[in-house]
Amino acid sequence: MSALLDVQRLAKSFSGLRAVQDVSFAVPPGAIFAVIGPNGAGKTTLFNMIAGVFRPDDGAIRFAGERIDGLRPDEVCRRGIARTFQIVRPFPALTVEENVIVGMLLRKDVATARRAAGDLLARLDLHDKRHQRASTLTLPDRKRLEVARALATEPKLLLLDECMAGLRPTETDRMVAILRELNREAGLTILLIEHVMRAVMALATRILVLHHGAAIAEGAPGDVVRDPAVLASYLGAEAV
Amino acid sequence: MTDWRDRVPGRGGVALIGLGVVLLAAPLVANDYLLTILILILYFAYTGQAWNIMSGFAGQLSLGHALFVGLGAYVAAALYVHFGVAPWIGLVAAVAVAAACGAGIGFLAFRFGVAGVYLAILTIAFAEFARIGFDHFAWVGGSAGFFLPVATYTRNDVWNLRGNPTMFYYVILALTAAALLLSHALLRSRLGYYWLAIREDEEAARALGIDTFRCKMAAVVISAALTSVAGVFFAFYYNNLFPEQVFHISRSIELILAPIIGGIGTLFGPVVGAVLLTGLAEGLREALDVFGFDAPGIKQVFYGICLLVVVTLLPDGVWPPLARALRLRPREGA
Repeated sequence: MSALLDVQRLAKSFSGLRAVQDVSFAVPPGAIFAVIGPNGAGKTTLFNMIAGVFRPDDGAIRFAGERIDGLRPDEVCRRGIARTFQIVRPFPALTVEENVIVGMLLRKDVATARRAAGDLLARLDLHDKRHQRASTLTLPDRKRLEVARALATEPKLLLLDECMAGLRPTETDRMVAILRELNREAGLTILLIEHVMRAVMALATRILVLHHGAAIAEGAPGDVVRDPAVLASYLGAEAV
Repeated sequence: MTDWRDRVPGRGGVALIGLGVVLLAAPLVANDYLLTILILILYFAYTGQAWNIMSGFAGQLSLGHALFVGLGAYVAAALYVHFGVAPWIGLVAAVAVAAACGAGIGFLAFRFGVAGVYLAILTIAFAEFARIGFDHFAWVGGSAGFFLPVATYTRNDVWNLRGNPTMFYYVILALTAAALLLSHALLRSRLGYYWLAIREDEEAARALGIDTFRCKMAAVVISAALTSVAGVFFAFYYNNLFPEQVFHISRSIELILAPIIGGIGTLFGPVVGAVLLTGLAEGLREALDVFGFDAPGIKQVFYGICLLVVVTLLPDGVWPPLARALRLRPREGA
């Protein structure tokens, strides 16, 4: 099966600092693909290149067979890739429902979007809070809103940038359940950056490990967590 | 806190219809002085509404909207004086010129990521260019001013916008009502949602597939076009235009006070703000006159105090809390 997202030899430097170098991987349709690694490994830079925020210095990104590197974020989103932000960015003065409606308007008209917003919010346990302003939400709710708003654009691929960070274990488990459900029922492909190994191990079908901007391991979750290089650079350090 | 999409349910609808009836009937009871005040209030409600689209809805701060008023005024006045073109035809040209100018400024700003304070400075700069340019533009009188022929009109000529205050009152009332309806419709459109999203967080908006450049361009062009219509009204109502007055930055500031006091980004904020500011300022002047005080500049002092009070006590403006108090809108979270 051909990959939904195909990243080839991607590289990006910031004034001489190589944030991402020679990273290649492929995400098959329906997969939940995790990118892990220590802080500063280049995970968010990688994400931002896929989402169109940064243009790569080198390499290619293909989505459903089409080159998307160098496109603007809105053009990337139109093609079916939605993202969340590591530091959540809801529209604070808008209600929870309006936040989601804005996302839905990409593929729906206003009347349809207003009707459909409730169902999506219910999936993410936000239905009771739909008339609240986003600025009044707690962090876990904001994280869920971030996911809801991204899903509202009806993506084929969902990019999640540390959507579990700051959540309590029970909240993490709930988010994991929601994402699994979306993946299983809607066939949504997910690419996530995550530090919370509890979530990664529960979700990921495949893991890529970045360190100093380079890929040091890739494989099934069980194999990656036993990889000596990964233990030395990332997981081992955390275990100590 | 503000519900940005001020829904007007039954109660509010009734209030609005009542207000409309009162405003329609006003000339039957009001004398010319009172009518002049009402015209001023409506003028600021209209321009405030027009500014609000760009700066309140889309969040792109303009401090140079006098530019669009002035362009509209000069284009329509020049066509009328030099070629005898009726103002409603001149209006088309005025709107086109202002919209093109807005598009030019918008392109320069948004193409190069100019926003916030820098955008505000850019808009001031263009208004200043226009002020200085028109000061030396002899075809429209330069700094000596540009005048429309004034005569006592025995009957109202709406087509040529020549007539008594009652006629001007109904013209500006119609314009203000139209601007309100347009803003209402825009806020409920896809573009309106996108504007609010861009105002709240442009990067997040872009990540949701919104072409922010196009949306911001639409905001500045629509806002400039609407504002220029007020300029046409201004020219034919006052019959004289001086670059030092029309394009002056104090005009740009004056024009944004109503929405700031009333509530930036709200539908009725500009209207409420205009009523409060102009109504109270004129009332104050009258009261002082009665007591024999002659206090030049009292209006500016009053504006300053209003602004201070609102900014410190009611950061969302007067309208959102007022609407809740009058139960014109559902309470938040209810």
